[in-house]
Amino acid sequence: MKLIDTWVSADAGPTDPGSYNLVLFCGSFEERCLALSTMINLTGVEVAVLLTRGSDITGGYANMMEGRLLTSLLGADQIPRLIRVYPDAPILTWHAVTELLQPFRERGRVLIDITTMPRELMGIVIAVIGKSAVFSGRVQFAYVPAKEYDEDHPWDKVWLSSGVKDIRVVLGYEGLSEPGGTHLILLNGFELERANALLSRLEPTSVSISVTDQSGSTHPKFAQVQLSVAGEIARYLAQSPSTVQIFPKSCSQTYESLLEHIRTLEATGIKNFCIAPLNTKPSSLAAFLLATLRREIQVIYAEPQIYNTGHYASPQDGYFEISIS
Amino acid sequence: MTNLANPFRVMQPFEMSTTDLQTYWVQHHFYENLLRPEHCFVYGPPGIGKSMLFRHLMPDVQQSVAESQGETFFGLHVPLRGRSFTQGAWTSLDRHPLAFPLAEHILVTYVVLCLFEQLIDERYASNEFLSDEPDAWNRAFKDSQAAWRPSLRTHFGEIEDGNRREHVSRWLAGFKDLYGQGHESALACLADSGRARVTHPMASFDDLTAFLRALLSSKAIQAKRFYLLFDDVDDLTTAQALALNSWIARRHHDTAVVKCNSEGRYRSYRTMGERRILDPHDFYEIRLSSIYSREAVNNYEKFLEGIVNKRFVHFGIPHDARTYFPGDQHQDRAIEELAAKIRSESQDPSRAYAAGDKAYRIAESEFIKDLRRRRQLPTYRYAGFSVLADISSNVARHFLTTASDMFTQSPPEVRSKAIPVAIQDAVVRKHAEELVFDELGRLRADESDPLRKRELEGLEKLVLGVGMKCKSRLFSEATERRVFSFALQDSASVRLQAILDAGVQFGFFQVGSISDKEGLTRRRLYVLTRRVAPFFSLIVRSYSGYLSLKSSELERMLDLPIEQLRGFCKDPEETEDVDHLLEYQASFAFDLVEEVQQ
Repeated sequence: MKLIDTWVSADAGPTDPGSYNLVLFCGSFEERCLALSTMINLTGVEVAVLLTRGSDITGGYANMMEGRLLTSLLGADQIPRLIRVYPDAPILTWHAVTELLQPFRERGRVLIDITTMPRELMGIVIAVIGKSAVFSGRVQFAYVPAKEYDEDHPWDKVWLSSGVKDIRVVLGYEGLSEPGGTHLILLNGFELERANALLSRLEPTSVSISVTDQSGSTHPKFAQVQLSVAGEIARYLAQSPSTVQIFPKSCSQTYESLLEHIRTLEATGIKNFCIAPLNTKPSSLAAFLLATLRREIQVIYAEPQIYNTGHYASPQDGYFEISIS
Repeated sequence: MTNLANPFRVMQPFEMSTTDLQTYWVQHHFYENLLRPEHCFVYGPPGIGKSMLFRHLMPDVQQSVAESQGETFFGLHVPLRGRSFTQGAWTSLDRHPLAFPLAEHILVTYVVLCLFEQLIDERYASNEFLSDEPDAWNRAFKDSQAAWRPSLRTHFGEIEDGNRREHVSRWLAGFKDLYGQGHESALACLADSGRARVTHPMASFDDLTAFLRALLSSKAIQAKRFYLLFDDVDDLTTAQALALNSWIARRHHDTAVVKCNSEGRYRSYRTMGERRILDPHDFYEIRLSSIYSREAVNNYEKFLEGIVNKRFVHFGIPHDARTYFPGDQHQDRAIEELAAKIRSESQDPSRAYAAGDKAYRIAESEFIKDLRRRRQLPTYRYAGFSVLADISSNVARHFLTTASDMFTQSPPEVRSKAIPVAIQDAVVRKHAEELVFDELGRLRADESDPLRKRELEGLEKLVLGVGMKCKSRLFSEATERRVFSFALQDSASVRLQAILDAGVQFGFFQVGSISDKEGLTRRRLYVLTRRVAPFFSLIVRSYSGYLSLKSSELERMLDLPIEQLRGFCKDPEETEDVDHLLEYQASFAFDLVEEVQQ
């Protein structure tokens, strides 16, 4: 698998990324869900789709933002198709996504905005695409990084989510696991509570935590916070964890780094791997892509009780385009 | 045939395709009553088929049957269970000065969003109720906007010409924004009690009525009226229930008829103007579980047989319900022989029917008593389609989940032929024990309100206590031993009534009525769910009597420690020793209470 990350600046107005046949947007409570629709020229796009969890499930901000995203798409002369996805019924979501992508199996280019896509939904989309090699080279992902997170609080008090409602397996493991325990690879970000909940609930035999450097991060100060959270997690563990370098702004580098790390661990006899993506969407995408190729790798997801819906993040003026072939 | 798919799989009605629904649908006798163009509340415990009835009123299904019914309506599903505006801040908003207008706003915007989402949902979007003419949609949106108050009108700006999808998408965007702002206003009201101001336009039921009327009069939606199907109204907050009732009270039957389904916990029947909505003045009721006459039971059995036989045809099982779930022939024959013996021993020329009547009343009871004397009570078998139908207590889902378990537990080679008697018996006994010991415990654990927790503990005691009383009667020498229900001789206390109501709500009791011997008055009859019959070794068929109890007797059950009651019911000696049981029954409350006090 070959992955390419490209930064596309929107400083000079909407870019023209070439004509896409299908562009997939995803509604969210975050302002960032609107960003891509204003950064790219949607003229000539055959079908624009808004994946929605429905007004009945989501609360205030999610509906306001979805309404504004719809307005933005209508302003770009697109009448989007609204496709319902179901947070509590992954099979229905799987069918909806499969049906949506079916006409584009043999033709056309597809752009998927993963900026605010829930990780579980992202796993399902990747699994649908991963099952069909025919999509190879024709699917791209777009990610608008955050300029700031939770601007209402100083850096040491930033909060993005609180509590953990549930922990679920999203991809991987169709059968019995090999004896010998599980190694958890924690792609930790800012959220300490979610990371600790995963460690408590999963009780892994051994753990890897992720570290980032300033060059790989979407903003230098984000790397500092991430490292400080990694330090907190390490203090929580009884044994010293191993570390894996990840690149929050690069899916391809994270993918290579994860693959290398897993190979090293395999050489020591570890057979069962579980990845918990809690960092940016490009790094999560790398984990999902890895799990579609190596089925013994599980990807798990910790669903928070609440999100900081009012002030989660603000968008940067540009996006990363991730191509797979 | 060894890889036969399970024909008893339970499907969620609103996840079913039109074809699935047409394949599995069996019309119940009360369905036509639901079609009346008047507001209606449908009551029933979970699993009885309330949502399935609503699913059948949806446009994709109705387009094939509308003509034959003579009433064309557009069914709009409004699911309420677990919705964001029925939880969190909304539940604490009931006393806020803005609670009513916000409740009305959120309900109206939510109903419109449901309509829009339904109009663009591909399952429902292509049917003969929806016009393909852009002019009709242009007219509908212009007319409805003209009828709105100015603040709301300006929120949507100028409406351009367009087809249905364009209009719906544009308005969906506007309504999503309004709906979202309603949520934020509710949070602001809580955060700043009494002083918060609402800065966005508020939608009212008048706006909704104008909108729906415009859709009908422009022929954009080609039906006589809307049926708004509010699914699980119990989840609404009090302010939201009052807002909905206020709309029901206006009786706009020509535009929209409101159909609500409820498990019996609807918070209020008052309106925002403190009036009460009344049956039959404002709405009519359908109570799916309270109809418990013999005739209704037969109707249910036929209904269930229809469901099972349709599934067998679909899954290619060459049987019908009765041959697939055979009864225990040996047991049936033994009971019949015993009945013949009782008939011959009780011949009385002066009372021609007496012998047959006696045999009918006591034969099965004598059979069970004989099994107990020989310490073979566990060999009594619950099997046969009629018995299983009775055990499912008028709730088709109970039958299907039980049958589904029987199917999976049967060896693959017999699945296409018939479910063995021993497996039928083992599964219903296991389900009965889980129901008595686990399900009530789970309900209690899920409840956060301490008062409600106590009610559910009381319900567990009542189920155990009443079950034991029915069992005592079965093993007695009484002329009528087959009892499954009780009526109160006096009025229940508030506490007892709340527990009985909880029992009805969760399907542990069903409600009927019984007249006194003089036929002058009627009393409420509580029928214990026959799903617990195997737990207490009760006969599920041919019940006819009932226990007449004082409320104090039930109150005493509530004073017993739950662990002691549970332990007593679990004790294998007790289940075999009827004398012990009777003795216990005689001193039911007092001895144990004294024991505990010592």
